[in-house]
Amino acid sequence: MIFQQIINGLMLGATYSLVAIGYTLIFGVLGILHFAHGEVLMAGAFMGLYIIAWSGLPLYIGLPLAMLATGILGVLIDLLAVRPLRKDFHLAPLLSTIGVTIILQNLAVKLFGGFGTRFPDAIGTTNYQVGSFFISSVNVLILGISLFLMIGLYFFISKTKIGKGMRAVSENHMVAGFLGVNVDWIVLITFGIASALAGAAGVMIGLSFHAISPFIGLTFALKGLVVMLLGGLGNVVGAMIGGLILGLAEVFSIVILPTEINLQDIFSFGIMILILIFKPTGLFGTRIRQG
Amino acid sequence: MDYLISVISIAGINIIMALSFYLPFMTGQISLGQAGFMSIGAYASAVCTVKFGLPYVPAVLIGGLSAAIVGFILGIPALRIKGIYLLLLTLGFGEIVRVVFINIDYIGAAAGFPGIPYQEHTLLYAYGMILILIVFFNRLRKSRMGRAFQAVGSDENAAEVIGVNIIAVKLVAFSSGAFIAGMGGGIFAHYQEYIEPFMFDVMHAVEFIVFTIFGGIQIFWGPIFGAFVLTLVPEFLRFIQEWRMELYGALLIVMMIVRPQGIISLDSVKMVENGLQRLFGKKTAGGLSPGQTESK
Amino acid sequence: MILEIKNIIKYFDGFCALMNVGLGVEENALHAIIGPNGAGKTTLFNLISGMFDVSEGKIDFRKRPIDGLKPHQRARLGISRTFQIVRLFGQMSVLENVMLGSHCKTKSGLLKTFFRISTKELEEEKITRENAMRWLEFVGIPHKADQVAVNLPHAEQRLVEIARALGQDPDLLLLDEPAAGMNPKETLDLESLIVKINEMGKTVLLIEHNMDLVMEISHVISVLNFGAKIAEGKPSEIQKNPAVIEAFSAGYGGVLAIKDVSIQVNPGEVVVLIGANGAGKSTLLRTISGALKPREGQIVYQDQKIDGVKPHAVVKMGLVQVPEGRGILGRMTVKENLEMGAYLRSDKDGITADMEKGRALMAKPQLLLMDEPSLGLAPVLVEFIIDTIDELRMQEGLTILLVEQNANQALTIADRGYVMETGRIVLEGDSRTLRNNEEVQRAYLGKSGRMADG
Repeated sequence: MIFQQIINGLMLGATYSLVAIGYTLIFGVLGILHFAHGEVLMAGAFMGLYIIAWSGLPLYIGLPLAMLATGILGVLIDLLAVRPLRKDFHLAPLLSTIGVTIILQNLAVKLFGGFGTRFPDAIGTTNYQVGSFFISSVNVLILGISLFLMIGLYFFISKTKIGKGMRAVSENHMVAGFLGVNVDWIVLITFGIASALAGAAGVMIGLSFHAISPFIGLTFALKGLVVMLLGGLGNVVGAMIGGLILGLAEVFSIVILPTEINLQDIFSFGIMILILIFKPTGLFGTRIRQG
Repeated sequence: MDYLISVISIAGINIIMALSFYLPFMTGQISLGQAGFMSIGAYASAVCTVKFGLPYVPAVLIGGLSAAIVGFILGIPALRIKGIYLLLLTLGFGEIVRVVFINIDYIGAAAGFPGIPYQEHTLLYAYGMILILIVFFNRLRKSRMGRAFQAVGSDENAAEVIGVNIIAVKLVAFSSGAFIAGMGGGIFAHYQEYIEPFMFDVMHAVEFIVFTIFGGIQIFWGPIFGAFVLTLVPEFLRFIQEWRMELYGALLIVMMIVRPQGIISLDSVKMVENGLQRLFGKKTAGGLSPGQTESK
Repeated sequence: MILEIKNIIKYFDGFCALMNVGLGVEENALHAIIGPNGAGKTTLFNLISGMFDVSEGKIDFRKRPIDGLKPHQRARLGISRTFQIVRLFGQMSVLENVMLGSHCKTKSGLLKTFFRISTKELEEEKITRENAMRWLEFVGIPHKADQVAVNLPHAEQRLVEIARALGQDPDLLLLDEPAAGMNPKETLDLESLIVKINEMGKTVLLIEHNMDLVMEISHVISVLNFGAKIAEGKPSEIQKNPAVIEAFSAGYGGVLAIKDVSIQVNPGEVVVLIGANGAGKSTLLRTISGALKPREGQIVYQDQKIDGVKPHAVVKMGLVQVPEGRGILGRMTVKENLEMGAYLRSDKDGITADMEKGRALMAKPQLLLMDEPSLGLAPVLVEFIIDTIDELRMQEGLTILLVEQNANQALTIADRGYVMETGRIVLEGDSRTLRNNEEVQRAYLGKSGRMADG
């Protein structure tokens, strides 16, 4: 039973990590917290729904397509709502992304209705037996994909030229610009990657919960932010670890707390508030940004 | 005609809520929790009139005070937190209030709290309160504390070094904002006759921010203008009503790109003030500005 | 003694910004604190004004300890300050900014504002306003009272900040680099202003880099370097103090910084100067570019003697110094601007491209002087810079003479290097020889220490 919960917790946590990594990347290169990131995840989930369920494409085509579509959405958000902003008003990106959130969420309610929509079993659910425990294929898939994406991202950032550009911009975007790094382009790519990751997370949430709604955006946005706070702002590895921690913590809180109290959703709020009050720099500390 | 009155009444309540956001905002505290305070005020005042039979005005005041007390408590940890973190903290607060109220049967839980006595002079009370707030904000603007508020909002650390007690200032601003929100909630409850937790959710909290950001952040006339216009216009343009929230979102984005200070700027107000001065040849409340001669 | 700083130590995250610093400020003194960048001067001010707490040690104001008091409480006691980078409340008017100075001396609270019970509040407001105007007159800009603070030119903003600090009616006024960014005339006016303030009976504690100003008006000078006090005394004593001379790397009022230095740079080379802080590297560069004039010796550039020739004339000949400060070096900036004939000027608040002036001044650059281009930057950015320098040499055919702390990195692309110590050349050779030289390795190729601001 415990093993099962651990697996569930890791699975949940992996999706949180993917969301948090997206936040972290954007925070790294732009210095803002992308308030609409959760809605991007929600959009990804719905796009996955359409692509996989309603066109019958298999998952291994559907998921990348959904990620692509979400990545494009992220790029659009950058181009329309972030890049044109004036640099002198420090609240502008925050408020603008709040605006994006409002638009996306309400559009989704209009398009898909305010209640949950069933997410199809895109892959047959088979249960594998390991010793005396069961792992479902869904678990394996989600953990596998998340791990793959995270490792891929890690290598991308450390080994490629674009990755180097991303690191340079997160260190000091002014100087990086002077050094010939096309900051706008790097920001664009970062938005695309972060959003694609969120899209993947959205699809996987649909797969594991079997239902999605237009309101999951805010929930996961918050959880992603809590993870980022846990792991320290701008700290990609911290985000990965933090996500897993939160996933495990939530799963075990359901087990421990009585079921009448519907506290699961505000559990992460509670954690967030505690972190904000007692350790605003996160458990792993923020990386100091210059410039 | 009735319809017009009802729209203007709602606009009035929205103005109060926008101003409740504006006060802490002046000191640099961005709160997504005003809907939560509104909710506390609404429920507290409703309990007073329905369960205890208190008259309207004391009930609404108690609503405001209850919210203010909670605001004070929340304001303490909020002191150390800024920007988006404060936004998250207040967001979390609002959500927690909503979830808590959903679970309290005494006030109807998720089914809501019906039977609140209707206040037929809501319009008067709402705009009466707005008038008082206008006087307050106007006096604040030209006063020592008003400058202190602005300084804290502009550069907290520098303000502290100058001699401003930033803890006191922020706490006072935050709890006063909560107080105003609570009063707004009380007035709201006795207008709607029925309240339920979801009426005070995140999206509503966001609306109050939109009113201010759109209307203008440099001076208190901004939130008043923004709340009024953004409440009225969707009412009179039916097709907008359906896309109201999406439009609010787009408005936020566009404002940030095009005119981040909002529609009403300090300069526009000063122009109007100067114009009025010339027209009437009197001093404005708050004394002469330097360089202006005593007599005309 | 109005202010006593006793053995304070300040750590930031394990890094020691101030180590055992003791200082006494006499009442009514005009006391200057000088030292190279990173010495800890602004940190000291931050500790005095209360923005940070000391890690160890005590600060006494008028014989009473002020540790633990919050900044606004210290303001009420009579300590006020200005900031290294101007921190006005930008959107408020100049007058309102100065009126805020009186905040700690006045009392009208929120409730009194609203209810306006008596005329006392209005009275107080009037007095505050009049006082503020008087201070604005004192610093010389009463006509700007109604302007929005952020719209004023830089020097006037500094004056507003000083007026605001004076509005607190302080006994001790801390001025943090007030002359930064001011032209010579403004600096002279500032000089008389500071003296006037001191003559009013206020104690002035002054951080400044402008040595002429410091030497001219100070009664006492304390010198900080790397978080420790290395000297203290009257201006004339400080000028002659060998430890002080060593700490600074420029000719300050008669201090000898470099001696018997001979170097050679051939076309298309990258030559690097390495050495410890204060070795004279920057001085050498600035002597070449014309900012400083050599006492003896010659500088020959493209068969022409340029010693003593002014910078703008030197620039016309194709010898350009890319300015120091925040480690800015731009392949695009330099390249684009070189192409457009612009001249880059950097000041405390960033880079401004002085286009008009530049267009008139510059010919195609041939020799670039760079002073610590990677200063203060993270490793990944340093890599970028080194690559850029290499490209500049190869693609643009430039010759480059550079001073670099990151000697290790610099030597990977340099052809030759010179090692300087206390104003002299102690070693020279091609980059490989230098890299393999044990002494050089030990002394200069290790990681340089981090430095705090100020």
